[in-house]
Amino acid sequence: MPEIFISDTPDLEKKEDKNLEKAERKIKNEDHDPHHHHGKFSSFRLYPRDIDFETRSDDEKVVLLLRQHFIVNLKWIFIAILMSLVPGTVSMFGILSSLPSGFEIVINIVWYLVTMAYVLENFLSWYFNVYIVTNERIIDVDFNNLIYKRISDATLDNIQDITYNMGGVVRTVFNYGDILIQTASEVSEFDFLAVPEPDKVVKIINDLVPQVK
Amino acid sequence: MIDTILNISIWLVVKIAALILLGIYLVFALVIVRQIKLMTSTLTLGYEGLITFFGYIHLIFAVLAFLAALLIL
Repeated sequence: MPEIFISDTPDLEKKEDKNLEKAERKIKNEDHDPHHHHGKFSSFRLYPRDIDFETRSDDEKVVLLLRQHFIVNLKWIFIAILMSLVPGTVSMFGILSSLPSGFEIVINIVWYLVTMAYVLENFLSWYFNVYIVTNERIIDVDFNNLIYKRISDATLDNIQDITYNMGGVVRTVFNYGDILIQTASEVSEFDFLAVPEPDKVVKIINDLVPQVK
Repeated sequence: MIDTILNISIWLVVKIAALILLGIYLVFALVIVRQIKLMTSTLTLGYEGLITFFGYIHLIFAVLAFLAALLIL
C-alpha cells in the first residue's frame, strides 16, 4: 500500500536538537572567562552537570544556574562576626557579673545559638534562591519566610523582552546587576536580582530563544 | 496566698520565661530542619548532606540550650 502521508515530526525534532546543540557550542565557545569556575558555591554556573530540580523533564538540560553575587553576603557575614564577638566583649566589661551564677552561661549559649541561626538562615536563603535557565524555560526559585516556596517558570518562546541594569559603584566594580525579563506567560515579569555578569546572561538567553521559536 | 506570691523569686519567673522562649526556639529549630528538607527535595545543588547536618546540629544545640536553662538556672 502506498504511503499517502508520512509525518515529518522526527525531522523537525532532529532539526530542533541540532539548533540547540549549535546554541550550546556557541555559548560554550564565547565563555572564555577564567573566573567561571564551576564550584558549587559559584553564582554563575554554565552547563552544570550535577544539578537537578523538582520539575525538570527528562529531556530538559540546565544551561545556566544563577544566584545572587557572593558580595551580597558580606553584610550578614560582617554582622555575624560582630555578633560572635559580643559575649567576649560583654564578659570583658563584666556587664553580666551581677546576675546569679549560671545566667551568664545560659545567656552566652543562647546568644551563640541565635548567631548560628542567623548565619544558617542567611546562607540557606542565598544558596537556594536560584535562577535557572534551561534549554526549554527560565525558572525562578524562591524560598521566603521559612517554609514558603514559590517556583515560577516561563518557556523560552514566551520571552518577549530582556533588559538589565548595573547602576552603582559596587555593582559596576564587581560586575553584577538585575535582569528583568518580560514574558507572555502567567508570570509576566521575572527579576533575576544581583546576578553576576548580567550582559552574558542576557546574551545566553538571547542565543537560546531563537532555537525554540 | 499573697505571701506565697511575694515569696516567689524574680529569678524563678525569669527562668520560666527563659524556658518558654527556648521552647518556642526549639519549634523554630525544627522548622529550619523542615525547611532544609523542603529545599533539598526541590533542588539538588550539591552539599545537601552537609547542609542537612548543620540543620540538625542547630537543633541539637537548641535542645542543649533548653536543658542548660532547665538545669543551670
